[in-house]
Amino acid sequence: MLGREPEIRGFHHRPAPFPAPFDAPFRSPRRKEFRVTSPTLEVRWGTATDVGHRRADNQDALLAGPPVFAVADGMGGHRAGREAADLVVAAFASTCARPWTTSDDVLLAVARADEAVRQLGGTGPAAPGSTVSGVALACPDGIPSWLVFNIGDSRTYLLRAGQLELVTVDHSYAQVLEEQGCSDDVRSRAPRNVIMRAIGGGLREAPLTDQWLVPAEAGDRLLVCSDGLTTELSEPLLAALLLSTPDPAAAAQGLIAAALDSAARDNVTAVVVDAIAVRRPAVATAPDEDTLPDLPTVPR
Amino acid sequence: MSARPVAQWSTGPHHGVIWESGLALVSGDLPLTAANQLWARLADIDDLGEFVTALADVAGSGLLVLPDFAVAVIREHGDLHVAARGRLVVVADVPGEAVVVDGSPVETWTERQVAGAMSVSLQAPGASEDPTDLRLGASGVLPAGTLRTTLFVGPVTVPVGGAVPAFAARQHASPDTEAAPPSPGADHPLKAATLFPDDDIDPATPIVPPEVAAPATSSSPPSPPLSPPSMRGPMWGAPPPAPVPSPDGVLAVLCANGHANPPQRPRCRSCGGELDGPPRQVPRPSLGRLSTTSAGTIELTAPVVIGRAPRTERFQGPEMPRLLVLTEPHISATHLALRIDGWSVLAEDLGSTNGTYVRRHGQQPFRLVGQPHPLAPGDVIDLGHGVQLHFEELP
Ligand SMILES: [Zn+2]
Repeated sequence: MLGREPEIRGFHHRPAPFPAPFDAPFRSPRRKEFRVTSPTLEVRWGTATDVGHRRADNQDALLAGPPVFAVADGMGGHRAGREAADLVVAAFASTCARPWTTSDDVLLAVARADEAVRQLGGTGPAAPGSTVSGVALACPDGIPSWLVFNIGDSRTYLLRAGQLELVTVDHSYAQVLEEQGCSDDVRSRAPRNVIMRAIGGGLREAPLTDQWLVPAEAGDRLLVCSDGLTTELSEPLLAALLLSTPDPAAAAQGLIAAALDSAARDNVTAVVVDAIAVRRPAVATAPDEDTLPDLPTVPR
Repeated sequence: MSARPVAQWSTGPHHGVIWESGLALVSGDLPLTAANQLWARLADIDDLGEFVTALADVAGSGLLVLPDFAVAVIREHGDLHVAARGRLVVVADVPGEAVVVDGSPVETWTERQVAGAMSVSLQAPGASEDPTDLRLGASGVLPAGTLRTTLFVGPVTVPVGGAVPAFAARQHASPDTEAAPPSPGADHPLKAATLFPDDDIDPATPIVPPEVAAPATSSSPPSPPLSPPSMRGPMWGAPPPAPVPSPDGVLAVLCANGHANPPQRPRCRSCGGELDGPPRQVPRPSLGRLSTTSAGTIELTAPVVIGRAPRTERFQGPEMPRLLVLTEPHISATHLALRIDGWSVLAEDLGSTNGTYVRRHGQQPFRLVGQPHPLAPGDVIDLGHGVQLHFEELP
């Protein structure tokens, strides 16, 4: 974390087949169906992080590896911010342990993280806290999906078909102003580092966790990053760097290098996740129920 | 925001583009008509990303094959967001240093945030001729080899638009006299929801304005109005409505087979058995089944998003919406949603191209527009071309 070289890592994960955790299997009263393959979401990823040019230490933490990819941006003096971010990452790592994650898992991880961060002590605005944003692999109804989550002003983007889209919504003061229709001029003078939701951070209650469910497509690329990246670089440059760099570790490295070429006033972290292969279970549909009398009849 | 007292320019093979919030040098490879289109689009642009997007649009290229460019978007206080691609460079003069931004080492372009610049030049490498003063209006396109502007270094006549003498303000303004950013209301009851990160990291550049970081008991000025007075509830910072405490239950009457039913029903919606017991609170049961000819059946245990590539709106859990994929090409990516409210299932069209129609026994089919619409037993949702959603055992 203290060196000038960004930390860069890259991985590829080909999941072993496993049964989808359906809680309500598909049935059809008119046609007979059966699943012939397991759902699969094969991913490859890379990460990079750097302390930046201005800060004494790196208070960003990251988690990368199926089923969850996340960035936590710690806040609080001395080492407390980094400790908070590390606790958030640890809570996600220990809670999201099954191959497919659910919203329940994400909320449990947040609750555990919030409790752990509060135990660091401190009160009021200076209390240790952390953002978290990221993506978990989910498989609702047999559809391999990105379960995107966010608390604070770290971000998760989706690059699909050449277009970069911000999936998450910042819990920042500037975002509140935007949602209230304030002018660019007012927004540009809003304090940038005030966030409205966080894990810990002296808030009275555990935060709500915004989530989005997006069915995965082969070729999807997700970028999870701390605000140290997005305050330095324009979104077109994020898109261009992601589009021009096929390898996810090299893409993460390129993003961090671009932020360091800019002012890099804050810690900067990027996690890049690629969907290499997405398989939904093929549903074999019998065209005429009379021709397949040996299949179980579904009660009406 | 920032008008410039003097721009200077030397003629050359590139397009010099000057507008209210910045200046750019774009390779002469870009046709002049496209350069003029770019300038026309820049009038309201004060963001580097928007400049690049506009350039990609007028060049008709993707982000990866843009013409070479150098650009400086000017903010207050001599702060710049600059970028350079290819053979064109940006040179910003800050006290004691010339900051050179050169995009040539990278495939894309290089961006840089520059604080407190006194002047900025856009040029081809090695451009040596002295630029001459440009006494035009604040905006236009001209054949250029170098563009240069000073930023405010002292009091000047402020043109319409009310720019402040930015550099001077940076030197002398105190928090009392500087235009204060809107304060997140230190006396607001939700003050505790405001975070002040990294307050001890970098005293040279305060991260949080002092009036914001002040304790809640200080005499901080009240928030400026952020919303019309008619807006109900806290003006800002209010967390979204708290989730109804789980378990997400409903009041139900059970039949002899244990099927949950709405309290007012005489007979069970599943087995037809009599319902004569007392109502009781139960975890919300399935509200029936949704079946399709092509995509199977799902239990209505949670909201459902339906489409060719359905995506949920923001939700906060713990209940995860369900997804139903219909692959027919006339179905919109996210076509409609089924919502659940107590014992009711409601259908809402999500702005689909080809519409969502409800067929209800004894009525003309009607199109869903706008508000979620409660479904009744026996309703069929028709999405056209034979794609129908049938509902069974709705309450
Ligand atoms: Zn019954």
